[in-house]
Amino acid sequence: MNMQVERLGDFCAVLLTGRLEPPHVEALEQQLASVYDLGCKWLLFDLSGLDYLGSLGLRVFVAAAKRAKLLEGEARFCGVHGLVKQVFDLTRLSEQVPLFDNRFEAMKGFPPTESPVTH
Amino acid sequence: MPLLTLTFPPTAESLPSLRDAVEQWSQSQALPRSTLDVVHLLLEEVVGNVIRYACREPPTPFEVQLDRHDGRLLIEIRDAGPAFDPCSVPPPDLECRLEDRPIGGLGIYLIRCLCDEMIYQRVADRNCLRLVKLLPNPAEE
Repeated sequence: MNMQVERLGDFCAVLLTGRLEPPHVEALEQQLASVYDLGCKWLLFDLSGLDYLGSLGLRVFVAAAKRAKLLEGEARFCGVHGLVKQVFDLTRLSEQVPLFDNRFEAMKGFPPTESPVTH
Repeated sequence: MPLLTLTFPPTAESLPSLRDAVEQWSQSQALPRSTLDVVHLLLEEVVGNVIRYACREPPTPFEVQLDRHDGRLLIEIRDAGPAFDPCSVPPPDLECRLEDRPIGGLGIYLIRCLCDEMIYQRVADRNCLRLVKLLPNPAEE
């Protein structure tokens, strides 16, 4: 799995490609912990290139969405497809987090302007 | 169709080894990618639990068997851990709000959802979990 993280102030976009399998989960958690430490509460997970997800990987997304909500931010997901979408739907996470077709749609009005963004 | 039988030690490294072996076997079976990914997920969930909870003390190997018969893929996982019937685990509460939702605990639920049959037996002090996945009709692939 490849992971690309782009941070701007308290906004962070995470692009995942490949297969999120158990050996990759810890690295993803560590990467997210480092952006959390920097105060990110507006998260965008671009999963358009992610082809596989199990329950261990799903935990990371649930935890991220819960954390963002707790901080009065939001975690958005885009490009969710195939088995990954099936897992989101079966576990009803797709009803609890905002899903968008693509990054362009997900970025509309996100993060909200009232959130101070450092340029 | 050939049967695949594998034995692994209960370590995290066994999961990628199992995945590679199943991937290789599937090529001779011409399984659709979507079915194969579901098989990987089923194995990740079951074997992950076996490694984490069942076979630790003392470490004992577990077995995985895959077979294909009459349009059905049969997956059997056997371990020598304490008796554990995943079929008896109640379904998770998925009605709660995001903030009240537990982070995990969805593995067995996903297994139930993604396979067509799930049968547990305790045989000779071993857990035997059999999963059946109906293969798509080639005309529908």
